This record gives sequence, structure tokens and C-alpha cells, in this order.
Amino acid sequence: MMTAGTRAGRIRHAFAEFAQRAKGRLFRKYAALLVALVGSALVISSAIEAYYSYFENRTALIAVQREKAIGAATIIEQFVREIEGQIGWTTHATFVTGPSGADQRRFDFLRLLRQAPAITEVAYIDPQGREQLRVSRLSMDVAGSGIDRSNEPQFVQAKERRRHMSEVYFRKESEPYMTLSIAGQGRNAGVTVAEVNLKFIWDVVSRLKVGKAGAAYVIDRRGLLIAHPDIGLVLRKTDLSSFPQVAAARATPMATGTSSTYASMAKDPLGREVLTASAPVEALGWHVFVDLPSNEAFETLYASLLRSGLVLLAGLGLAALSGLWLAQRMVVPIRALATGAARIGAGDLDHRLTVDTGDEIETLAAGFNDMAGRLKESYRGLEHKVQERTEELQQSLEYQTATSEVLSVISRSPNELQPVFDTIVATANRLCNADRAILRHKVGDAYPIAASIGFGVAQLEHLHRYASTADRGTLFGRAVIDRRTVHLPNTLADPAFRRIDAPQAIGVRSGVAVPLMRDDSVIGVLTVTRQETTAFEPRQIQLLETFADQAVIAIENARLFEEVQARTRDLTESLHQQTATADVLKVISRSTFDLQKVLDVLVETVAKLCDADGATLARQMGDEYVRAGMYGFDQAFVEAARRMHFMPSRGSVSGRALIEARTIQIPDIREDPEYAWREAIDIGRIRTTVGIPLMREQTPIGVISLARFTVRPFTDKQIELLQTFADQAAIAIENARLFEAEQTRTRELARSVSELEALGEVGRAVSSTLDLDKVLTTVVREASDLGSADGCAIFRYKESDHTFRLWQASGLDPQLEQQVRGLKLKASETAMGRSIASREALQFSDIEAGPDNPLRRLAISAGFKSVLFVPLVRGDRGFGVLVLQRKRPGEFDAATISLLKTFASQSTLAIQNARLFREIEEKGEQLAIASRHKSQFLANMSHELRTPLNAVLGYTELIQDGVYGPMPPQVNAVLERVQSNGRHLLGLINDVLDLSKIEAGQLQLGIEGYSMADVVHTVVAATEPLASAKKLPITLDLPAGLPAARGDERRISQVLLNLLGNAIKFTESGEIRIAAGLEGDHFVVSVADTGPGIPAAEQGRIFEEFHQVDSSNTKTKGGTGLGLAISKRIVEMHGGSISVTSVVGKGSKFTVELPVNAEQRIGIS
Amino acid sequence: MIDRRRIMTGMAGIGTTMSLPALAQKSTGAPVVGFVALARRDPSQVEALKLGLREHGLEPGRSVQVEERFGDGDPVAIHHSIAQLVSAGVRVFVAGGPNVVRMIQQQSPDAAIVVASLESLDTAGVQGTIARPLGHVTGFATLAPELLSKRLELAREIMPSLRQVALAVNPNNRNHPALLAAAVQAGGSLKIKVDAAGIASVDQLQAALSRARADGAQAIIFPRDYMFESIRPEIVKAALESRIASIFDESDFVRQGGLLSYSPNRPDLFRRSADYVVKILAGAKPADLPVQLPTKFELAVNLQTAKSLGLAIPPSILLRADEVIE
Repeated sequence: MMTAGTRAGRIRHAFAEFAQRAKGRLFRKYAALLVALVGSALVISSAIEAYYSYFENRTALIAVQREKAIGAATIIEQFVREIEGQIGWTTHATFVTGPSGADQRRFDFLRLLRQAPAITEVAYIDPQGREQLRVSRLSMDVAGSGIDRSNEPQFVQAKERRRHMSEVYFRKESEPYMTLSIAGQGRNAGVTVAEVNLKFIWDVVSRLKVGKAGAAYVIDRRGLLIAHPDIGLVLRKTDLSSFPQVAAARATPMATGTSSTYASMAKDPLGREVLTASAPVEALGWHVFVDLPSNEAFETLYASLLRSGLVLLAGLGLAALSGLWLAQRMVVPIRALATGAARIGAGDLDHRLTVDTGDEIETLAAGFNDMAGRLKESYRGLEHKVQERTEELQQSLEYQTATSEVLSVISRSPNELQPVFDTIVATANRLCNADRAILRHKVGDAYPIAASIGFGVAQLEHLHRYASTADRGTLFGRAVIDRRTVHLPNTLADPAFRRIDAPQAIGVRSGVAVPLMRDDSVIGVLTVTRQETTAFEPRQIQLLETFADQAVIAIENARLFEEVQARTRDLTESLHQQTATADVLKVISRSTFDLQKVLDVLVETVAKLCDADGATLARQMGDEYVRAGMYGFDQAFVEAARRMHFMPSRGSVSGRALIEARTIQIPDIREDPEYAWREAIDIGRIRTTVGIPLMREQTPIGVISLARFTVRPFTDKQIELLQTFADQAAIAIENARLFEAEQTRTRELARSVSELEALGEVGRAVSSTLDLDKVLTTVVREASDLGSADGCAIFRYKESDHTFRLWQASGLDPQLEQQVRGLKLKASETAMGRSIASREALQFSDIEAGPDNPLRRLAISAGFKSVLFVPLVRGDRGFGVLVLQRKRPGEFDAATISLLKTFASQSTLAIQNARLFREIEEKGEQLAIASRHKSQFLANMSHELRTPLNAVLGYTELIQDGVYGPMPPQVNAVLERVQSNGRHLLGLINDVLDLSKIEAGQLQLGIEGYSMADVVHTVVAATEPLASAKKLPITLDLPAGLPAARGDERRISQVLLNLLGNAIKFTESGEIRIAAGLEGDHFVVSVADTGPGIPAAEQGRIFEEFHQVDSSNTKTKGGTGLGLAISKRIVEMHGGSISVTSVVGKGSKFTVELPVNAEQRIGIS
Repeated sequence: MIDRRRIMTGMAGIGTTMSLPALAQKSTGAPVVGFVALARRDPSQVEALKLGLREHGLEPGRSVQVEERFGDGDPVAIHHSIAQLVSAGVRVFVAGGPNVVRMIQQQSPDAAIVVASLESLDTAGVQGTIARPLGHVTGFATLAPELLSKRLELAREIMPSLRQVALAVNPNNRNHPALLAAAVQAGGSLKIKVDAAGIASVDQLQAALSRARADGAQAIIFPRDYMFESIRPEIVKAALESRIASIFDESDFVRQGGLLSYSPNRPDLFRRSADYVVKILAGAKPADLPVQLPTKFELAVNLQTAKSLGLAIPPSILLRADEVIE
């Protein structure tokens, strides 16, 4: 136990701590409150002031902006008006008409251009709408062009309203312009049309100063920007119509006389936050916007807000200081209170507080003093009560302990009641300060003593004898009858209580009996008695009732335990049965296909499990039933039962079960009047029997029956088990049936698969080989196999003399085959002829029924009995006959015939393929020889032609050069023609020579290093004169840094020269573009022209020899038609490719792809 | 192509021997702008550019450094100057004309270039449209081909009997072929025959003029060219001596004795180039700056020269003229 000293110390300490904390809290609270009050007053007043000053400032700013906008609008309007005025002045000045009038007008216009720099062009349209004069700064002046402009709005609108301003438009997609047209005075006046460069408004707008960073800008009716200090925005045709301020300004109607303005915060075209105001330029439908960046606009406002903020901060500081001081003052007396309270709290109840502040705190101190006095008094009363309470609690604890003791006994021995009862009586006796206690447990109608305490042996015996039935003379009897707790404080005072004055008498002066109730019945009584007359306390009675309840629980527990035990025994038994059943099922599932074995196991197991002496199982066979499984019977009965096939009838248990399609039990067949199977009674010695039909989809397919040789009916459980086995038997029988059906199907499938495989093999042979013999061998072999034939052959039909000879055979012995091979059969004497003629398959189920011929005789002697002929025909031609022979008589079925027909058509196809192939091969060989001869010839001829031609040209040149003296002019002209025609011929020969060399495989590339750029330059330089003669510019796109390459430079130049020459030749106007570039390890060189183009159909053929797009071109353009063919060969020999894209009427583009490092490719043509 | 090769080989010889200017030492942290032109230095253009910069609050020499380089018509020299500027880290250029643009781009492909006087978008390598030029080049177009026809027209107004005109062509100038084509076409509609007079250097000037005169040309038009710009006095003198009417696109020629010029106000273009330079220095991309078209055109005529050629200037010209030299 804690000593008084330390306890008081702890309380004092806690109090001091509390006082300290409380003081701190109070101080903070007061300080915060004061600061909050003063602070919020300051903040609110500052906020209100800031709010109003913000709006005043804003309103003022907007007003200023508006003024600026209106001012700017006025300036811009003036600018336009001024131009208008100057044009007006010009139009007024001209009164003279005629030629001198025209001169005058031109001077006027020139003067106008001088005075109004914004006007770029001015034109005069006469009253009839014809343009008479145009003076421009940029283009040439035009006088008297007479262009009809009478329908243009400039003219029409100006005539109507004297003045017209067009929408703003952009010259060169960049410069904003406006057309201003003004009609002269008088009815017959013309119209002056001026193009005004609105960029000049830029000068006006740039001069407008809007704050430091502000800007003014102008938009037109559609929201397009036409003037802005950042001229770039204007020149890029910035569309501002989506800006909210622009949309708002455009939405405001421009009422005449009122200038509608608009101001707000917005984003400007540069994306800055601005204060913007706009004003319309009414005359033009434009709007002027004046933007001032919002940070600049609100600069002063922000400064004033900052000042207010600083004042506010200072005020808050002051408030904090004064709050601290005031709080300090208030806390002093409270602290005195706290100290006193701490002393009282620490147990010094005699201490009194002294506070004389004369206010509520003093009253509070007095209250504390009063409280201390009262506390002292109440302490005394409390200590007494605590002691009482402790005693009560101890008793309760004892009761609780007892109760839980009983409970623990119950849980220790769930199936034994005696220890529980003993504990209950002992405890009840002890806790109730009683002398004796008895617990009776009802058995039948009596209430024998189950446990007792406080009795001698003699007394107990007496008690057993004397009182075990309930009546009102005993305590327990009353409890049983009243079904409630009975308390007799004094038995002497109760006249009905039976007192026994025997020597063994038990002196009961007072007692309590509590019934043990389960549901609503009494199952026992707990009785406690004393030998003196003292009443039991209610708590004791309550305790006894608790014990009674616990006894009931224990009894219940024991009963339930017993029940569970019984159930467990049952379950174990049925588990045993199920295990056996499962074993049987395993056997069944393991040997699905051996039905008999399954059925044997089944009848044996079911007989054993159901404790039967014998079992039979019968299966349906057609209309009858046959016993398929038997167990437990004598051999004699088994024989008899197996032999007896029976129909469903009421005479046997099996028959009856089948008729009724349900389980039938006959307790004793000898007693059954309908039972008719004598053997079962006499030989089988059956007495009790049960039968269950085996059902498949509501149809019986068999029956299973059990038999006992003594009269002992089968229990429901056994019948149930039998039912399970009956189901299993039905499944097993069904499985076996399905398995059989499956097997049949599989065999059928296997057959058709092998047919398909054979067909596939023949098909493969046809498509993969042109070796006809191999195909036909495959056909006869497969046909023989699949047609289940003993021999198969194909006979070849020769149309020229209508004869058949053997082609291929299979299954014939070599000697027979040799003999058949020697035969030549006439179509008229064999059925094969008929088959070919009719194009139908023909069969003889007896070979001797067919027409007689040597083949038939050979077949008969070899033992063949039946034959099938299938013709090989295609179109009008018959190629032969497929013959299938069997050594057994009979018809060939439809499937075989159809299969053979397929084989026949495959064979026909193969024969035809082979024939075609042979023809093609022969032709190809002939062609190759011819082509070789041609190339060789051309190579020789060209060479032979070139040599003399060179001589002709050489000498002609010498003559022309005057080596042989001067020639008359006529001769020179002729020589000129000789030269030019000779050179053309030489070119032709060279081309032919090249091509024939390539074709004859004689052209060799001289592979060496070259520069593609140099090649292109050289080629362009060479063709430049041709191009300039036709005024065709050649553009060259040649990037720097093309890599050094390897190839035949001369041949590559030849290719490019040819392409470029063609381009120039076929192009009449436009240009030629040559481009070279590098793509990966390839050069891509393209030559594009603007010539007539090549039709798509021709594009593939232009690379063929002697081909020209339009043969009429040959005459006008010349050329051999060999150039592209040679180019293609050369490029391909380099391992490259050449292609063309072209649009008729637009031009063509030839593209050459050439490996940078080319090596000669052999064999490309 | 050939030009470039020659320039490259020329470079190899000179480059190593010349010392870098004191560009690095002068560096004060102020942005550096290279002002590069193939022609001779024209103070009015330099001053116009500086004036433009000042209008934006940039003081040349203090808050911005303008490095001027002029080629006096020699591409090799200007090529070398560009190399110096590029190696000194200059990435913003004002180009006098389109010919110099490719030379800058060869050495510094990503340099931002403002062409103050852009005769041809193609020559300068400007891609895209004038409103949205792609790449790193923008500037101020002069509408040179269009104005050629206007010059022919003005010439005809002074000489109503004008039938044949020569167009001076520098074979090294990439713009000239296109201009020649435009001039021939414009001549066609005015029924004036236009021939080219090739002048590759000052040595060929006199001979070319004499030949043109001999071929029947009554006037000669000098289009804008860096070499012609560099030899203004020689051209004017030769024209006067050959007694051939001379027409220019730069009023300074007329002040020195040429007959007539019609062109955009060139110093104005240089002044406006400063706008773009300032924007680029502030981080704008040239592709965001549209090529601007000229708005102001100037007609200058020299009455004295007219008199010496025996020509009377008609009132329509005088009315138009912005500058009349008595």
C-alpha cells in the first residue's frame, strides 16, 4: 500500500503541474482573444478599403483606357478621311473630258500619289464602267485600257452611295490593303478607285503611346488584325475574331452618333494579361483596341495595397503586445487560486485560501474553502462503505469460483455425470452453510439420488427406500410438482411437511429444493438442508439455481455425447460399405471393355455387401433376356439359369422387376402365389429374393437380382446399395455398347483416310513430277490397293489406228505382264473401245460375259473373275483406259468406281502436262539456238559494217577539210549530208554492236574508280548545246560529298547521256531536271523532263529492243530504239536497276539505281 | 558552284595570314551584330541601321556592338570577314543583300540573318512565303523585278522614242539572270528591246557601255549589284562619257550624275532592319518575322545630266520626282 506521504506528494505535484498548464493555457487564450479582436477589426477595415480602392482605381483606369481608345479611333478615322478627302479633291478637279482631260487626270493622280503615300495604285473608271486610267507605284501605268469594271462592287457601290470601302484584303498574302472608291459629282461622273496600303496605319498606331508597355491595334470587320505595333502579326494575317474582347466589340452595334466602347481584362494577341478598351471606327466598321498590361495598369493600386498591408501588420503587432500585457494582469490572482487549490488537493484539507480581489475570483476562493471543509467530512463516510463493499465482493468471488469449479469439472468429464454431481452437492453444501445436500436425477418416474453429502450410510439407505417419488410431503417433491424453487425457512411451521421420527430420521429444520429443468420438464432436483431453523439468503438460492442449471447442462452434454457416439458408429459402418462400392467401381472403370469381367465382379461384390447368398444379372438380347453373370449358386442351377432365356413375366423376380420397371422384393418365393420358376425353388433353393431392372433412358436393358437361401428380407439400405450397383451395371453395359460402336466408326474412318492419302499421293505425283511413268506407276499401285484389286493396268490408246497397248501395270506377275505387253488390241474387239467411245466406266462382274479377245483369254487363264474399265478422256481426246481386275466375281461398288474415276482424271492431267512440257522444251531449245546465231551474226556484221563506214567518214572529212584541194560549194553541201547520215548510221551500228555484244555475253565492264559528280557534270556539259538549242533549261541537283565510286565510267556516262539525250529529244518546252543522290550504298540518279510522257501500258516495254513509244516518232525523232535497252543491260550488269515513272502530258522521270561499288554481274540479261 | 570553289581556295590562302580584329578584346558583354555587305561601305546605310537601333533604345558601341564588314565588291574578302565574325561567335547578321546570305549560311548555318535589301528570296535562300519565311533568314524585299518595268516605263516617258535598252549584268551576281528575264518581259509589253550588257569588273565597264551604245541601246539600266555599288563614280562617269541615259535603283547614283533612279528608300530599309535585329536579340526567331514589302518609293532625276544628253524632262516625271538634282 502506498504511504500517505508519497500519495500527498504526488497529488501536490499533479496539481502544480495542472496549475502551470492551466495558467499557460489561460494566458494564451486571453492573449489570442485580444489579438484576434483587434486584428480582425484591422483586417476588415483594411480589406474594405482595399476593395473599394481597387474598384475605384479600376473604374478610373478603364475610363482612361476608353478615352484613349476613342482618341485612337478618331485618329484612324481622320487618317482614312484625309485620304478620302485627297481622292475627293482629285475627282473634283477634273472637269475636262477628252484626251487633254485624260492627261490632266494623270497629273492629278500622280499628284495624289505624291500627297498620299498610303495609296499604291489609283484608277479611274468612266461612267460606263470602263477603266480609263491606272497609275501605280509598282507596275506600269495603263491608259485607256477600257477594261470592263462595271460589275465590280467598287464601281457599283460607289455609283450608288458616292463612296465605297472594300473589305480589307491582303496583297501577296501579307500586306493589308483596302480599296477606296469615290464617285465624282454629277450624274455622269466616273469613279476613282484607290488601293490604300493599310500598313501606313501602322505608323499611326505605333505612335500611340499607351503607358510604358501598352499597345494599340486595329481589327477589321471580320476580326482580322490590320494594324499592330508588332507588324509581324499583321503581315501574318492574324485572326483575332476568337478573342473574347474582339467578339464582344464586334457584337456591339455601331449606332451612329454614339460611340460604343468596351473595356475589360483580357489576353492580348501576344498572350499578355492586359486591361483592354476598344472603340469602333464607325465609318469603316473597324475597331481600335488599346491594351495596357495589367501589371502596369494596376501598378499604383498594388503599391497602395502593399502600404495597407504594412499598416495592418504594424497594427497586428501592437495588438499582440497589448494582449500579452492584459493577459498577464488577469492571470496573477488565478495563479494564487491555483497554488491554494494545489495544497488542498494534496490533502491539506485544513488549508484556506486568501484572495481579496473583491470580484468573482474572491468568491471562487471562498467556494474552494467551503469545499475543503465538506471534503473532510465525506472522507469519513466513504471509508466505511468501502469496507462493506469489499466483504460483499469477497463472497461473490467465492460463489464465482465455485461456479467455475463446477464448470471446469463439466468440461473435464463430458461423458461422465458422477464427478459433476459430486462436485455440485459438495460445493452447494459448503457455500450455503448447509448440513446436507442431495442431487436426484430422474429415471422413469422416480427420482433416485444421484449424489449426496452429509449422510451416513444408514441414512442414505433409508432415504433411498423412503423417498424417491415426488409428493408435497418432501422438499424435492414440492419442487417437482411446483416446477420451481421451493424454500422452507422453517419446516416445523409447515404442516404439510412430513417429519420422520425414526431413529434414522434426518432432522431437517430448513431447506431449499431447486428443480433441474430441461425444456419444460423436471429431470432432477438439487436439495440443500440445515438442521437449524435459519432462512437461506436470496444469493444462496440464486447460487443453487445456478448449480441446478449447470447440472442440467452436464446431463445434456452427456446425452449429446452419447448420441454423437452412436452416430459415429453408424457412419463408420456406411463408410465401410462405400469403400467396398468404390473398389467395385474402380474395377468397372478399369475394365470398361471387358464387360463379362465387370459383370462378374459386380454380382460377386453386391452379393457380399448385401449379405446375400447368391446374385444374378441378366442382359437383354433382342426380345429375350439372358443371364450374363451369376454368383453363389450351385453349378447345376447356374447351368439351368444360363440356358433359360426368359421374357419379362410375373413368374420370376427378374421378370416381374422388368414388367413393373421397379424394384421387386419377394420375401419368400415358396409363399408367393405367382412365382412360377420351379428350378429356382428346387435347384436354387432360393427363399427371399429381390430384383432391380437396369435402365437406360427409361428402357430396361437388363435385370440384377439377389437371393437368400433362408427367409430374411433385404433391408432398405441393402436395396439402396443394390440400386447403386444396378446403375453401375447399366453404365458398364452401355459403355461397352458405345465402345463397340466407336470401334466400328474408327475402322470406317481409317478406311476413308487411307483413300484420301492415296488420292493425295497421286495428286502430289501429278503436280510434282513431269515424269509420266512415275505418275502412272503411282496411279496403278494406289488404284490396285484401294480398289481391293488383284491387278491394275493402264492401256494407252492410239487414235491414229484405234489400238490399245499396255502402258503401266501393277499386281500382275512378270510373265503375264510380259505377255500383255506384247498385245496390240483393236478398239472394236475390246470393251475398252466401248468405254472410250461412251466415256463411261464399264464393268463385268463375270469376266466371261465380256467380248472375247486375247487379253480376256490371258486374264481368264490368270484366274481373274471380274473387271472394271475406266476411260482416260479429256475434251475430245481419249488417252487410254484404266483397268482394275479381281480374282473374285462380283460388282465393283460405287465408291470404288468413283475413286477410280478420280484416278483416271488425274492420270489424264499428268499425260497432258507431260505432253505440253515436252513441246515447250523443244521450242525453247530451238529458240535459244536461233537467238545465239542472231547475236553472233549481228556482232560479226556490225563489226564488218563499221570498218568500211569509218573509212567513208574519214575520207569525207579529209575532203571537207580541203586536204584534196578546195571543193565547189555544192560538193561541200553534199559532203555535209554524207557526213551527217554516215554518223547516224555509225551510231546505229554502234548500238546494235553493243546490244549484240551484251546478248552474246561478250561485253566486259571496265571496272575502275570514278566520280559520279564528274560523270553527271560531263554528261550535262555534253548535252547543254542540244538543250539550249531548244531553249530547255537543265537544272542540276547534285549534293556535295558524293563518295568515290567503282564502275565502268564510260558505260555509266553512256547510260546518262542516253537518258538526258532522250529527255531533250522528246521535250518541246519546259525543263529538264537531273538529280543525283546517295541512298544507302546506292546512287540514285534521276532524269526528269516535261515531255509528252509515256502511257502506262508502254512503260514496261520501252526497255525492250527496237521499241519506241510511238512508231511515228521514229521518223521525227530518229534513233534506233536501242538506247534504253542497252542502258538497262549496262545498269543491270553493274548490279543496279533502271525504272521510269511518267504521266502522259506532264513528263517522264527515269531513275537509275547504281551500287556505289559495282562489280560486274554475269548472266544478267 | 564554281563561285564557291574559287572562294574556298581563295580563303585557304588568305585565312591563315590575316589576324583577327580586336573583336574579342572589345567584348563588353553587349550583344554583337555583324553588318555584312559585298558592296563598298555606304555611310548612309550604316547610319540608317544605327539610327534604327537608337530608336529602340540601343546605343551602338555601348548596349549593342555593330561589326561592319564590307567587301568592296570582292566576294573573297567578304568571305574571310564572315569567317572572322563567325569564329568570334557572332550569330546575328544584317546582310546588305541576298548574295551575302549564302556565304554567311555556309559558315554558320544557324545564324539569324536580316537581309536589309532583299532583291530575290531564292538567291537569299529564303524558303516558305513572305508572310511565313522558314529557316533563319528574313528581311525587307525590294520588289526589284516589278520595279524594273516601272523604270523602263519612266525611261520611256523621258525618251518617248525609246526602243532599245541595255541591262547591265554582273555574271557573278546570282540575282541578275532573273532580273534580265523580268526586264526582257517588261520590255516586250512596252515594245522595247532589252539586251544584256555583261560587266564582270570595272575594267569591262567602258567597253560594255560602248558596245551597248554601238548596238543601238539608247539607255542602260543598272540593277542593284554589289560590284556596281562599289564603283558608283566610275559608272556614272562612263555613262556620261558614252552619252547614254543611265537608270538606277539607288538615288545616290543620280546625285553623282546618273539620269534617273526609282527604288524603295534604301536607307529606310536599313533603318527598319534594326526593328528585326532588336526582336531577334530579344529572342524572336527569324521564321516568326515576315519578310516586309517596301512601302515608300523614291524617284530621283538629274536635270543637268538630262540637259547634257539633250533630253527634256516632262512634267509628269517632275510631278512624281521626290528628288530633282538641278
